[in-house]
Amino acid sequence: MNKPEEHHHDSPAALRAEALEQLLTAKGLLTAEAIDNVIEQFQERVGPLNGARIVARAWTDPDFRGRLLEDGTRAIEPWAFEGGQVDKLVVVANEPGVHNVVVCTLCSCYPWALLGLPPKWYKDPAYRSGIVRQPRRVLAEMGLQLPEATRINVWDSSAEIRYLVLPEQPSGTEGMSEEELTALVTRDAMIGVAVL
Amino acid sequence: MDGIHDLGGKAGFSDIGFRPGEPYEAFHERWEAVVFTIVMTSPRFGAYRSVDEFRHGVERIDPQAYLSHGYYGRWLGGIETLLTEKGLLAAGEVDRAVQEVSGQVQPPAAARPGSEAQIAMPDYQPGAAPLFQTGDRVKTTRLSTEGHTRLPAYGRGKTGKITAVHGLWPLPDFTAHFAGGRQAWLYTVSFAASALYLEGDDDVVIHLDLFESYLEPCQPPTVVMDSCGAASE
Repeated sequence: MNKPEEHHHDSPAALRAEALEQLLTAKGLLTAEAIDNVIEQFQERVGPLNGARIVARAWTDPDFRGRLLEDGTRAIEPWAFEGGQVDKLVVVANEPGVHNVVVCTLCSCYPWALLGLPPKWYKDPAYRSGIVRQPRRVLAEMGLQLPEATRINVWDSSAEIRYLVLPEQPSGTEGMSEEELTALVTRDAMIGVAVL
Repeated sequence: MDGIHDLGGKAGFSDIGFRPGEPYEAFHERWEAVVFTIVMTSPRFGAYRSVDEFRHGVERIDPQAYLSHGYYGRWLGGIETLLTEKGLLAAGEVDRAVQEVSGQVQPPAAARPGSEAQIAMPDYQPGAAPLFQTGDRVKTTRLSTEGHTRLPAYGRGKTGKITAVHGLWPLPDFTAHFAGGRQAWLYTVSFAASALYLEGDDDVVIHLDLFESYLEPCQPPTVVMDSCGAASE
């Protein structure tokens, strides 16, 4: 697993964060151990693999799929995923002619417990501004050419509901095990900027 | 507030910076995890009461820093704003520490302590049952606020349809500014892109999760108006 780079960067934010770390540590409000624990938690135990397991289960178990789409929060309860940011989960399913994509235009809301911390582009202005205005064009720029007739649902996470896209199962994978299918599911597809 | 954070629909940000299949990395540099840890742990020592108070701290940072310092740079600006406002840091304390750490005088910080507007407490009170049901057409308020809100500017004054009722949730417009908490009914409101933008596509639907205090019912007209809004006999 990757560990974040230790070496010093002189970007204003990096220097300032280091200064703030020293100040709060001296005040007894922050410890190096707390930082190490957060890095370990979000790198080792929280990440897109958790979302992929849900997707693969939904592909192989029609009853689970039904429950997941009906009440995502309750359906994923048995996993007890850590990481937070899924007080209420709504899972939206892609189907032929319907594509779903998730954004947070006001900040960068994201289902941490299922996908980990968001990629940089999800948090940056270009995606956040464009996807609610020209989703077809933005998705094409990201390499996803949707047929003209495909209806697009854009979910702007403006409250505490968190959204996960259930991608369509790739054809030819029907006989695969849940574990094999889990390995096929990507973060990009669960945000809705790619299909499988 | 009409801040730089409210990015939905803004034109001109051209480079998405997407790399397909990029492997998951929680943090790219250690300082990002430092900022993340401070933000996640600092409610324990009183930096902020609610996630919305923190979000509003981020919204109030220097707008140019908002665009150029990246996600964790924005979080840093937000948490430094709040730590200073709550008296957990003295004014200028971080500037002096930066100089000690780096030997450099930094460009002005992203943080903007003291920038919170004095707003009136929202007067919304939830009823025992939600005012709207799935299928109802609603119009969003046209009014903006200097305080925190979760109604993006692109969704103001627009007509959409209730597609889900999510129960009672803390009202961000209240909890960002005031202690005590107040809840509001929360809905998913779905808007055809053609109801938002002149060139909007009918096959695109934008879904927003909106609190009841942002919404007005679309009632059948009781008085016949001419096209300029004057009542006619």
